Amino acid sequence: MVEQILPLALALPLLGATTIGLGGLWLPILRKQKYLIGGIASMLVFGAFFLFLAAFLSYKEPSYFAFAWDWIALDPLRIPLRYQVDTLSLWMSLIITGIGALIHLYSIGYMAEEEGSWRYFAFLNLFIFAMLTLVLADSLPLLFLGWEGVGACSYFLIGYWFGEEANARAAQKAFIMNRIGDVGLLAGMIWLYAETGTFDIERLKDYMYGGEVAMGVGLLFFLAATGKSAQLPLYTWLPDAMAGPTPVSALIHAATMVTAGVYLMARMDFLYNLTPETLSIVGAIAITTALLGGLVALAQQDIKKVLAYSTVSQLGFMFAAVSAGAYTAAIFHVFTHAFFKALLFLGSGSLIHATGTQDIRKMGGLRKKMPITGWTFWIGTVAIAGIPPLAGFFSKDEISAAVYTRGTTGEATFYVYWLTLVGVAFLTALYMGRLAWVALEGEYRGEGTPHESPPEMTIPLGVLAVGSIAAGWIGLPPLLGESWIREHWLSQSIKELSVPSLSHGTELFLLCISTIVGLVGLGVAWLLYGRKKAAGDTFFSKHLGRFYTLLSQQLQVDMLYERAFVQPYYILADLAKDVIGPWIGRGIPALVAQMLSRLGEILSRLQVGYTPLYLSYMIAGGLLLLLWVLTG
Amino acid sequence: MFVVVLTIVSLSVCGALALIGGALAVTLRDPIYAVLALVKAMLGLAGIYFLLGAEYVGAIQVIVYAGAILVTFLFVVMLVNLSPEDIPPFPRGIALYGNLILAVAWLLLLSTALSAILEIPAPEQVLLHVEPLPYLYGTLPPLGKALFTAYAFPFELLSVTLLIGIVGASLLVQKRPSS
Amino acid sequence: MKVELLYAVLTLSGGLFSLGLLGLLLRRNLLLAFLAIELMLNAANLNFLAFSRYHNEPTGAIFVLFGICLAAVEAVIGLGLVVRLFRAHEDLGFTKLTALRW
Repeated sequence: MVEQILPLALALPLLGATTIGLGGLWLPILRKQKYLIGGIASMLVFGAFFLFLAAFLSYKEPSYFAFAWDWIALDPLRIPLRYQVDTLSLWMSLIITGIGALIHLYSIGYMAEEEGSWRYFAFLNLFIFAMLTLVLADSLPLLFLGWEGVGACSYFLIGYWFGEEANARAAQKAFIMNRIGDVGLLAGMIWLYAETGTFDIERLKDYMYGGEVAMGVGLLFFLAATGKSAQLPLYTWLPDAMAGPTPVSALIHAATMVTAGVYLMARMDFLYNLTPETLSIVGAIAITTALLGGLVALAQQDIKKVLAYSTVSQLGFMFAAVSAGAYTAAIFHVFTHAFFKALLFLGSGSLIHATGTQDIRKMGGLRKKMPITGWTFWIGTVAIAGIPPLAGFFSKDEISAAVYTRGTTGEATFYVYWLTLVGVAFLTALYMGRLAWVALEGEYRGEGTPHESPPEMTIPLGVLAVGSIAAGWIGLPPLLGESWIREHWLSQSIKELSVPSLSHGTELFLLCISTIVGLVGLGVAWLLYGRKKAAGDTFFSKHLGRFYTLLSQQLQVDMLYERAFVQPYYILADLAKDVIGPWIGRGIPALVAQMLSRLGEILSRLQVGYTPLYLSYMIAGGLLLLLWVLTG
Repeated sequence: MFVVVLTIVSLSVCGALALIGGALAVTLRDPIYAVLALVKAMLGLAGIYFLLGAEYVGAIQVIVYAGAILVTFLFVVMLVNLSPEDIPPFPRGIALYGNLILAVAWLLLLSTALSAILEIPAPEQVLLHVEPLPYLYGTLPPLGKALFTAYAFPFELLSVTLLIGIVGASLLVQKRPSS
Repeated sequence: MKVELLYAVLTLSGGLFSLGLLGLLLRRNLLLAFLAIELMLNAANLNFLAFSRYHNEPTGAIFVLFGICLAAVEAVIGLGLVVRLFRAHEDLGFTKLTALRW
């Protein structure tokens, strides 16, 4: 059943991408049919979603689908075009197509006034296809194809409004930062192949790895993940990626593509389970990223920047789960995060659409003017803040429980990680509360009169809001029941690092901490921003001083990178221009040319324009040839 | 016995004709005489072709080579009004001896090459014995059959080449209005 | 009785070729050098026919036919060039035809 559904489900978005892309390119008359284009694109992704849903309902065991021909056939290296459906890849596919379909629908309204929306929808469909290839790939090269495909689509869509140089630069930045990470993926892939002689993920699982290989490849893959999933030190592209249209930010830079790194590490669980040291490194980076994202998000005035740093921070949560060996918790958080972060981004898109600005200081009071957007945004805020029984609470709690459990096994650093995570959870509630109160409550401070968005934008908001409320219920903590996603679904594909289970008392304690931290965070946000009408920023800048200014300047990481990497590169380029170019680049060729020219002058004495002499040369040449044939 | 002697004698005569004709063709100063000497050499060669049993090729040699190509040479000689006074003498000194050495070296190498070829075991049937020739060897029917079956494509290519030759020659010699 | 005459024919062919070669090297006139080339071509043809007969199969004869056709093409182009050159230089001596000198 599944293997019949899969090719069709894969083909639909690709069909949409090619039809819309080529149609828009060759038949300019079609470009004006915006509802037709958006409708086709959305229908195809919805179709793919329902096909995956059918596959999900009839799922029994992992199955494969392979094309009749190989992608690369160079004996002994054979890379088939083979897709694998197991619980993990199917789950990711459901998230991608489900959220993707809603965002397609939303985009119809959001991009209604755009001239080039055919380009937008073609790339969006192509992105869905590439992302599906990434998660369904059975071999690493095919995964890499999808990995690069989503990177390319991300580049195209960030730079969608390429007329402005800043957008084009943001796209290039995202592309280049991702390339740095991709080197890691490629190198890890090649290392694995050199070690095992195969690229098939299923066969890689059975191999006995040495500690060095597992650690080296694991770290290389983590480097790839830091690029794609915006972790330190490669995260700087994600805030800039907000230059793209807001639905793109929702789909690619919040819900799906940036979770590819988490997926990769969950897929490679067998490598990470071998070397807990690798996981400790992952944990340190993840925790630092989460903290940094949360802090910076607190000081941003651009609504999309806040959400971007929030995404960075939440991705840190996911990697923290990975570092605890709790890959299902990471995927679970990918799932819930996809709902509420997509909801928040789409909601912010709706606000931006209505007010024409991204600055939250020019918003305010929008809940009354745009009730659906306002209320759903609030639902997303509460969900991400981790208030039970909304989605974010369950996944975050599972993560902090997993990290705490690793601490109980004797790795004391994980207690530090856990404590930091609790702090970041507080920060999350605080900055999200700040965002919601400043943007949605109080008096309207902008220009014009904002109106509620059209139904094609509000319907996805409603659906995502329902998801943000309910998505967590499939992963209940052991105290409240049974985690379906962990016990019955993902455990079929993922092998977690085995850790002892917690006592009920500890678990209750952790649950309470999570809830209290979320509530306190929202409470502080209300004190600072809700009650005193956006006075919180002055409070912070008064008490934190220069640190707050630094936070609002995004810690000046870009400048740091500029000084540390770009400037030396320029110096190197100047060196090449001034030294290597003239001396080696031009000097040596000039010398060679001069020598050849001298040789030519000598040889030209032989060429006097007297035909009999040429005939003699010819015959002597023939003689030499004959001699060569005879002696050879 | 008579046939053998006759063959040897005719072969010697034709060979001598060809050699003398060739020698005259490269030495005579009067270009018309030189061309006519080459015609004589061609006729001698045609005789040898006949004796080798290649009757059709011999006929073509007479008609095309002696009859057409060399006559064209004669036309050109007369067209450019080439007289014996226009022909420079043979070179002397280093040019002469150097070229002679080259030619002798060629001859030596060629004969080595040929003897090397002849050391390859020959097939059973031997050339130029004076027994009756195999049926119709070298006459039109087997040649035509081969030309239009196994060698049909080269044959067609050759006709294209001839066409190119015609077009090229007429382009080369036409008088352009001087601008 | 059998008479091996392949050697005789090959020697004849070699002699003709050498004569042609000498003519090509020593003649100082374009047209006559061309004549020598024709002689060399015929020597080669004779070789083909001799071996064709030796192996008793017509491929060599066909090759000679093709060779004669190509000789015709070559002659027609070559003579066209000769005429053209004569029109340009009023002379066919190699001492005058030095336009290719650098």
